Amino acid sequence: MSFVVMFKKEIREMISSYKIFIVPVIFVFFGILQPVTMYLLPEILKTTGAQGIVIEILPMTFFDSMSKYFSTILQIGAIVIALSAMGAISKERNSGTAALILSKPVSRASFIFSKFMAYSLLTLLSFFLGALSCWYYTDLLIGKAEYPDLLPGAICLLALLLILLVAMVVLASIIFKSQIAAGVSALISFYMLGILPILGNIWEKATPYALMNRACGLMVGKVENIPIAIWPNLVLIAALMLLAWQIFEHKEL
Amino acid sequence: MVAGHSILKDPKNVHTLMGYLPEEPCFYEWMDGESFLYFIGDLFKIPNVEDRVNKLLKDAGLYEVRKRKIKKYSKGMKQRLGIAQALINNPKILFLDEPCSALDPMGRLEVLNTITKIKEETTVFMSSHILADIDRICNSVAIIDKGHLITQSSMSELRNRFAKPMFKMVFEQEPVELERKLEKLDLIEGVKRNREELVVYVNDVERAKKELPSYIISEYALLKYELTSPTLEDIFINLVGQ
Repeated sequence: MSFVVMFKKEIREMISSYKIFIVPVIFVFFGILQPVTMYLLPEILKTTGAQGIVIEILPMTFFDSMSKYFSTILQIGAIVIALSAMGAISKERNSGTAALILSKPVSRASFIFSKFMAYSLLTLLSFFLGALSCWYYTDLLIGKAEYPDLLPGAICLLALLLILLVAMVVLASIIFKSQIAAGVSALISFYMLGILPILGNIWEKATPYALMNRACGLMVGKVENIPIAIWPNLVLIAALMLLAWQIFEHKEL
Repeated sequence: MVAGHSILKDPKNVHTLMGYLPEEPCFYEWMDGESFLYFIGDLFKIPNVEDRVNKLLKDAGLYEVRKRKIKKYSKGMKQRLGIAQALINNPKILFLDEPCSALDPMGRLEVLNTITKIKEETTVFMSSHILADIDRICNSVAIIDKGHLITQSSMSELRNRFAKPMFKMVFEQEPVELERKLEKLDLIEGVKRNREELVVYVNDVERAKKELPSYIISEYALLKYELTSPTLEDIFINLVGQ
């Protein structure tokens, strides 16, 4: 099946370009940085030497560390994902490899879905490793998770939000010939989703960023509105990929 | 329709039966030549892909450099790798888009020799602006100008139809007066002058052989005089220039 061959090629390309090492290392770096910074914060403040100023630092919790890691990933991690995937299709169209490969028995669906799957895998691998690092170091330096059984669920919810970003980048990479335009437009669209909750209650519950709130909720033991946060995202990812496929199907290479 | 299959209704079968080399073949340059051919072979699900890849690498003269990254290949090597990948599925029809463009004379010669071998077993469609290459290896030709098909026939038929015999002459001075004089003769179909060179198209070769020398001798100092058949390039210029 051409999908499998193309998927393997994507993974080999990620190994060859070191993406498969660099992206997880960045995520792990932020995963470790968060609890370490929080742990060292009092010491850091002491070294600033501010005389006569009393700074009261509330006790740090596992929730603080993990939720800050999630926020960092939605900001900087999202940029890293967009940078790594923005050339997925546009680069191949510009270089001419897409035209060559699609003259073989490879469907356009296999071509784009193999890329989507490979970049999703890279994102999940990076995010899970980063989250596990954050979990481990927070546990070690700050304190135990209040609800460790619910933590994997919280991590998976946020992972789903990152997969949505991958779908957006793949779609943008089909629409735009320029890699930069693809990356920037996907990132802007992704960040715009964060504004939707201000539109009303239903938007707060069902928009993609609701996943972040539900993930934070899980970490403090609140298991509510999970399906209503998951389903719209799954539908949106499927819709974006179908749209990407249809656009690519009719795109002149 | 390609090889009896509709490209719109049955694209998968068409892709299986055809090979394609784009004008500027592009590869995954992080791969080596051998890996790239294995990758393409896997897309076609070629049985005994190892034997096929080794044969193509040897035929393309790339066996010795098969483990070298494609980004380190020369243009000629890339072109030959492009032809090798196009042949991996033993295609019934091979499409080559400007296979010799951007190649140095040695690279061109190598690619043309390869195509000459391939055409013994496979129907090859080749587009090129280098008409000397077409003249050398093609059996039939179609001339397209601004998207319109001007003519299509075998090389021999094309020559019979359009390649009217012509006399080429080179003088010491520009034969301006002679050009005017020859244009008036009923024997002459056309005259083209390029500085000291004069090309004369005639409608009766046998008569021209006897009569033409009498008009040109003693007018200008003659350096060269020959009866030739036009090249494909001459035919092309004649057809497209009209």
